[in-house]
Amino acid sequence: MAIRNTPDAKTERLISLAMTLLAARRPLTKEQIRRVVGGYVGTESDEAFEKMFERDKDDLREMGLPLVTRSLDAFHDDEFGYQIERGSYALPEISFRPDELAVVGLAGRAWEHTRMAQDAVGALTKLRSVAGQEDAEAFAGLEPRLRVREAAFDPLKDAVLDRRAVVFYYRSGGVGQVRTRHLQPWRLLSYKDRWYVTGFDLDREEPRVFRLSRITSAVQLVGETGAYEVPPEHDARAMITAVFDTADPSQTGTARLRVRPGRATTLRRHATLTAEATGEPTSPGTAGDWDEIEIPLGVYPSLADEVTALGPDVVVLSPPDLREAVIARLTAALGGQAATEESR
Amino acid sequence: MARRKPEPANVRTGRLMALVPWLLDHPGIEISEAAAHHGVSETQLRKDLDLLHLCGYGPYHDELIDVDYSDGRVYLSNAETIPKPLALERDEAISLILALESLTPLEEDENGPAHRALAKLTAVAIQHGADDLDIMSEEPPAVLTELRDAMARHRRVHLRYHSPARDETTERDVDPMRLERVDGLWYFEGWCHVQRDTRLFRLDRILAVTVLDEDGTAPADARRHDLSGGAFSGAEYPLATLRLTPQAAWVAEYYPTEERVDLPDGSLRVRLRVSDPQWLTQLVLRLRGNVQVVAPSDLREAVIATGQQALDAYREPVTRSGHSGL
Repeated sequence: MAIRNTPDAKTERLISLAMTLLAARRPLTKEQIRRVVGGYVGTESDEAFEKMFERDKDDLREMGLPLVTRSLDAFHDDEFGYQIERGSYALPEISFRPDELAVVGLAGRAWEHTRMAQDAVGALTKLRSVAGQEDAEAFAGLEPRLRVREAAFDPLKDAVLDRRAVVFYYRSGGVGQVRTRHLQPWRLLSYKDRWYVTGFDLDREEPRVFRLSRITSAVQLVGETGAYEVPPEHDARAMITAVFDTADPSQTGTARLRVRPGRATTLRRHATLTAEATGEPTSPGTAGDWDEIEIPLGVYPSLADEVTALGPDVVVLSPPDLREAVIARLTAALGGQAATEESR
Repeated sequence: MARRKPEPANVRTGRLMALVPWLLDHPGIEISEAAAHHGVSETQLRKDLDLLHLCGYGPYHDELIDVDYSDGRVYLSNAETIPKPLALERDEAISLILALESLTPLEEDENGPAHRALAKLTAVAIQHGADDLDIMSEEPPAVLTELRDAMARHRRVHLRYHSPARDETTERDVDPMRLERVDGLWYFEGWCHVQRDTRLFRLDRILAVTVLDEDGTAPADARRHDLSGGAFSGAEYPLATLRLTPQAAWVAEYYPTEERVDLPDGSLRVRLRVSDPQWLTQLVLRLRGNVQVVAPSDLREAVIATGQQALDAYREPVTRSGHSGL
């Protein structure tokens, strides 16, 4: 007789298996389990039962049930039984106030990523079963979303948690060359909603940061579990901000810009207004009709980029190298629009 | 909660293993209340109860869980082998702790609910691994507090808002609908009384908020933006085709694209929604020739015209300020 292995049947079997092991006063052998748990009665062959039982055991362990193997007889190592360690499987005493439960609920719904969402909802389910009332009003209208778009996230999460080395193709910034990289990953970190992994780069033999969105291949876990340790002094946050943070304090001095009245609000937030327009803006070479501002050079990683983006609303008066940089960028941007026909 | 895909057996098992102890603690609970507490539909809960009725610690009838919900109230017995929910497993704890950590910057008060809940949770959760993943949340914009306050008290707000793409500052009255964090940015959605429509505002572009002493309940039929694909990816905006050199490839990561083709020379061709032509102009100018507007041609012409105009300004001799140029 073939037995059903629908999701319903499997759920029923897993719960019964858990209950059976929790109720048992001593370890149960595989044969006993096969006779007692309804879902296994009627398995076609020993092989089919073995296969099913192995997967069920893994599933229960993944759920957090400490299913252990015990020797049944002190003199014979080959007789094994299965047991769930009582006392260690249960959620410790915990209670939440209504507003705390509301924020836990908000956190549990925040992930927009299959595995993280599933895990968070799993945690929420367990906590709800011990918790009291939720203050539904406390965080009404607030929707913080946590997104993970990088496919490399799942394998790297496993690798980081298990301390396993990985290998992947990586496209570098700048010129964009793709190379194979070998890494012992240390920490997985989200900064400005992009995910980064820090670790020991086995090719360059030094700590490095990688941006997950630049990984162009599947991430393969290659090393043994627990193959290395994260240096206790490793500060992933400092490392990532050092590499990817924006403001450049090494640039000193100020730039003088001519700005159309009422425009370039973002630049003005960092700037001092040194002259105000007296009339309608005409030609930008004409003082009096434009505002003039002074802005420190170091507030942006590239002030030239910011100025160029604003197009005809801003003109650089000084320093000359900033003027040249903006002219070069505008010329390049316009040059890039040519050759349209062949690229179609 | 509507579930499109059938719930995997291990997920459902986890849910039911948590449901049983709660039901044992709440004998005679109304089905509707139990369903609401666990975030499932009543239909789903009945299916769950029917399934639990088949589970037991042995194959005989008196070893199975006894379930009775015939009068709309749930009674469970013979289920005492599952007296408590399972401990949080590693990945569950990590996922929830990370999400909670990302919420703590919203609270000015270190005794706020997110801080308190996080402390309780880390105390019971498995410690291992919680530090291996990290979310660095930036300080939320200062106006968040005022907007939350307005939303909680259903007050209308007066906004001064700057749109960098158009480089203009506007003022308007808005009835708050929700505050949403998407891709690291906070958005405020509300019913705008100037446009007579729902509008989305980026919090870092709100220059000032005044909470008005006026009811701020948005019209019941006000539509809500679907931000699931990222903000401003709406189908109402025109599609543009861009060619990106490898140096500008990040654009395809940064903005939601509808299509992405790797070209033989290493560059990318992407199609994306352009909510505002001026946004595209800024992007193209900023990226020094690494972005080419392939189509539509009117967008390309607009970008070229703006760039040319900017460049022309540098062809004229600059006069000193304080002196008349004419």
